[in-house]
Amino acid sequence: MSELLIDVRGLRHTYMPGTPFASIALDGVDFRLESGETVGVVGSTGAGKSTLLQHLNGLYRPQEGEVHVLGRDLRDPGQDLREVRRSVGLVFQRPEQQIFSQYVGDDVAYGPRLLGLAGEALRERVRWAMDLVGLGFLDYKDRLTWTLSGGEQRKAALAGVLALQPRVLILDEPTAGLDPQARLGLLDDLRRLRAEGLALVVASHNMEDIALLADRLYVLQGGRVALEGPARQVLSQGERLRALGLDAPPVVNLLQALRDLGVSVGGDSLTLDEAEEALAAWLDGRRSP
Amino acid sequence: MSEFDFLGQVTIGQYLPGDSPLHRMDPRAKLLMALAWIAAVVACRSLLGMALAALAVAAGLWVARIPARFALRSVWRALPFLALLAVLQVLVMPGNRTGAVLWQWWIVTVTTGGLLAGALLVARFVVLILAISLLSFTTGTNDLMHGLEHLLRPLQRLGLPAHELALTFDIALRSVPLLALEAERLAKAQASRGGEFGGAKGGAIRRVQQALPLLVPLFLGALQRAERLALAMEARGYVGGRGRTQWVALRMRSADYVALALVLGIAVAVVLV
Amino acid sequence: METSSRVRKIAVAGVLGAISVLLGATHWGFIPWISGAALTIMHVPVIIGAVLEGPVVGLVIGLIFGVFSLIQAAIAPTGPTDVWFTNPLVSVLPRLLIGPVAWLVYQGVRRVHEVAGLAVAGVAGSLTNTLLVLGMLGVLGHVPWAALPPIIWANGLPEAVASAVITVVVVAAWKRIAIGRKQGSSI
Repeated sequence: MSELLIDVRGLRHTYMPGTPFASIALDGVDFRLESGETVGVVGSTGAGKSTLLQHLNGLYRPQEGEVHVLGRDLRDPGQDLREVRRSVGLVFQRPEQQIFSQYVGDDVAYGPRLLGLAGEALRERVRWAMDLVGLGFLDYKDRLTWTLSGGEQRKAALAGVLALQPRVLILDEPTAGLDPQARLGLLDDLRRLRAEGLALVVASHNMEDIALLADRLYVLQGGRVALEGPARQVLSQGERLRALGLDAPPVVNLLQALRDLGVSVGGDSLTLDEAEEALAAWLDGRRSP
Repeated sequence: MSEFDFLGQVTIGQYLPGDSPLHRMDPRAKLLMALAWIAAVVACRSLLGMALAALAVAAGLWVARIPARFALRSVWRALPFLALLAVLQVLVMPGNRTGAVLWQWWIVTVTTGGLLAGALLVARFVVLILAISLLSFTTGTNDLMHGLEHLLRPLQRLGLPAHELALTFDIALRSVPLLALEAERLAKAQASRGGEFGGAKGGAIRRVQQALPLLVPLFLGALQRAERLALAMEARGYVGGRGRTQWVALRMRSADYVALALVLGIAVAVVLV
Repeated sequence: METSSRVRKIAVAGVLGAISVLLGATHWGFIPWISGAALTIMHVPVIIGAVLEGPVVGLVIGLIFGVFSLIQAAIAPTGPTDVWFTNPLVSVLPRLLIGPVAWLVYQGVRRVHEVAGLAVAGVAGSLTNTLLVLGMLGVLGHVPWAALPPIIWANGLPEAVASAVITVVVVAAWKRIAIGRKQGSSI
């Protein structure tokens, strides 16, 4: 039985309203997140992705429209936004920039400590979070944060947010700036989190990442939802995506190019593995008489 | 207004676009005038001199066509504080007990000397505020930087790295909005980790520790930015200021010299009167 | 690629000067304190700049700090004391010495212990700011001399402690020096 975790209707947001610098970031956006699913948010720069994300964890109260997060109405002035921020984890771009402690263990412990955890409970929580991202607790907790590689630092930052044990995890450009191996490692971590039951929202420019993670997809443009639907459906519309300043995942474009050449590969492959299977099936089809 | 929107708060000075003679004046002349003004006002000891200075600044504001409400806005904001200080000066400060005693009660002694000191105080600050505001209203920060650099250049022969200094100011000016954006992002990121700021408790060390999650990444990010900037500058062949020519050439016109002479004259008069 | 020290000094001075301006213009520069008057930390970038890049850089950042506080006091005052700072003798002159003093102290103490050098430099720089500004206010007759010691005690000392903490943590992280005898997290 799935539960509606986040419900957004008609959300509007203007930066610096009433000044000559006012700019409309969101112009009537509807958004839903149900338990267990991973929703992708894509759009060219300035389309409103980050603004939308920052409304989902209570950083902003909605100026216009409705936002309900885990049963809480963010328009209600009595609603304590800090509570929301603790139950929905938002990981910013390049989160390693927010690390401030000397030792990894201390930095991951920052959030849960503020929640009131201490002693053995705190230790367990930090261990849990670090294991989740693949940083062995005993190996990494006493490491100096500045001795970690970029990928390790990012994992540490992610652990810092996971340590709050949010029900929803929102990630803004999770693989930006990572080398290929670190990127794959992080994607594995995210898939593992999904398997553990965490609902994810991922905003990204990287269509391959989206193809690998998302069940459903929102395409934003000019502060509005231009396209929406199951990932497979949206990502296969190469033309429409390009008209919106984006593109389909490389695999989709490749298979489309093959089809244009007369290779009738079937299916709606999004990832390299799926494409491999589809092509293999087509080759088999040609071999049999 | 979200609790996180920093950019709106960060303004250095206030430029009011316009086309008055003061707006068009060479920024070097304006800087020198402002400096002379501030020095004169600080050194002035007589009420008459202050009145003269105030009159001249008012004239400057009129020439620059600055609407009165803008000019007076800063003064207005400072007024309650000024009044408080003046009262303190008159009533409490012992150094002003000169001249005839007008009124005495307990430790409070009001003398003519005290009243004079109080009036001078208020006048001094009002004129200072107006003069600095006038400079800020009529000169954009870019022009100010150019003017500053040109002014300092002759000092380069004496060993003062004028170009480097002006470049430093320029970098500072440009970095402020960028750092403000960084700060906003950091505040949001730490808040998203459950960070809490403002609920202050405890001794100095405790309170500083609460602020560290914001301050440390801010400083470190800034230092990284500085390093990248230095690398970029070197990669583009920056070798310092010696022998360097300018893209923007400032030319003093006769009107600038006249205005400058006029202001210097008034400044001297203000001090001597 | 190693950057020449000259170019790096210019960049560091500019950027840290910008931080000082940012701290002064927003509430980040003010740590709320019991006495009501906040602990200000706009002078800390001056100290850090001096410790990292030398007394001249410290001087320049101090100049930027001073000039900005002058402009802000004139155009956007936020409290009664701002009025005093429209006088450059109060806002600019004392701030020029924060950097050089901090640097001298750092060079002296670091021979014994690096981190202690940072802490003492933080204290020294902060006290320079406090004492010289208050001293100038006394000389100009704005504040009676008798009122100064309580201010130094209630505000100046905690401010010095705050400066020391921030200086130590930031510079240690930047230069990758571990602080403290305990080699590991507290978890």
